Amino acid sequence: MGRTDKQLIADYRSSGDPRILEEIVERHMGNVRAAVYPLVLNDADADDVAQEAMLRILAGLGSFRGSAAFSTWCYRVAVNTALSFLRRQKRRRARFTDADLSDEALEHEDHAPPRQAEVSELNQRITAAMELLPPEQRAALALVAIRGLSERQAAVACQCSFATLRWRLFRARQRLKLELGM
Amino acid sequence: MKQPLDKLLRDWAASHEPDAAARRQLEARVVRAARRKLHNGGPAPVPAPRHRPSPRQLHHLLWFAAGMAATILIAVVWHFAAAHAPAPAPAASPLAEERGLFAGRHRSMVRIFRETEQLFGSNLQWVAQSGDEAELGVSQTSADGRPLVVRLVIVARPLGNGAWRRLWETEVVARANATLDLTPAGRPDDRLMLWMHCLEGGAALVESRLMLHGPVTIEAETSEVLKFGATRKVTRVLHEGVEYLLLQTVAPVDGGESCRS
Repeated sequence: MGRTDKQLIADYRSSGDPRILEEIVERHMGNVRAAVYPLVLNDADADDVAQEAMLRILAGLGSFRGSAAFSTWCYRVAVNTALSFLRRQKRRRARFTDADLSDEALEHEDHAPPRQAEVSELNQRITAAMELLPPEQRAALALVAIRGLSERQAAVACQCSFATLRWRLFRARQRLKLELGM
Repeated sequence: MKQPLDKLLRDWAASHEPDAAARRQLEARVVRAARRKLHNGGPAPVPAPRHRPSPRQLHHLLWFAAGMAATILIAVVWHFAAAHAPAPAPAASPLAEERGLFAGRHRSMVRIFRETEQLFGSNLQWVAQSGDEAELGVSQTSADGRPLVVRLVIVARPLGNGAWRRLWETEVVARANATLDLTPAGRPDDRLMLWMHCLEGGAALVESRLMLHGPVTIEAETSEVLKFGATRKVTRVLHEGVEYLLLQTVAPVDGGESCRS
């Protein structure tokens, strides 16, 4: 049985052993990356933002107090980092629209079998619909609908009240259903 | 559409997760950066992120290869570092700093070029490096132009303040009279075009066209005669209280002043 996150962090604090960082990265990088993608909606940006978030998490290990689960804290840092990135990139994001989608469509036409092409078409519609949502609503969806956090955990991660989180989720789902014709 | 929305979203998100190899690469990148930052004492810059080639980037690669019939693009991971990790350029005079840096970068690029040349011989047209990422171009025919190393750097500082920061830098080894036309993977709006002609007497005509989109958009078109080894300020731009300089330094791979390779 491996060590829990809290044990790992305690061991790191006492020993400073850099190998512990590797274990923490291995455990949580996937979650961080997966939480970030629905916010930034771009693979390369998601990699960069996930890296930045993970470095913040590692740099903050000394100040992690354990009032929430470590994984929830990781999501919190990931969401904050992605929202900061989006604010910085607001001007640039306007360019990631039709051209990018048509490029992806071309790739899938070239390389993917028909089944995947259908999935790809649906994925593009979902991406386009997600782009219409405010980032805070995307964050709520990312954590609850995609990552499976409870609404209370997601509220902690998003640093908002439970009611606000539920409202964001409701609005996001409503808008997506409308855009996707569900 | 009968699937519940959350299931659709989970499938959609899963389709954008990196595969195992890409995830390991990302993890390794973070661990390296963390070790530098947390265990070497003092703040260290996060290394320029490496973008794993996504299908879209591969598409750009194909477009690029098709657009340059004579050039086969062997590897693509060039990077506009400005948007991610600007490195400090602490000198009060960026020209003096660049002269010092160029000697080291020149040695490094010559080594890379020579090693690559062992693989491709005179078919090797150019090698471009930015951070620790490189691209190279190989033609289907051999070329005999003298290889030249050129370093391009953009530095910036608040107007009236002496602290320069290096925003972007790249080194290229290209054969004289070869045309380099580079669109960085994942950054379809960025572009570097370069053509150099060796002049007798220890100089080269360097023509460049540069388009970079970062916090600010930088476009520069230059045509300058540069003495070997001398750093020259080829463009100066003032924008919103910030002064930007494009600096270039050029020197032949194997020293000397002759244009014969």
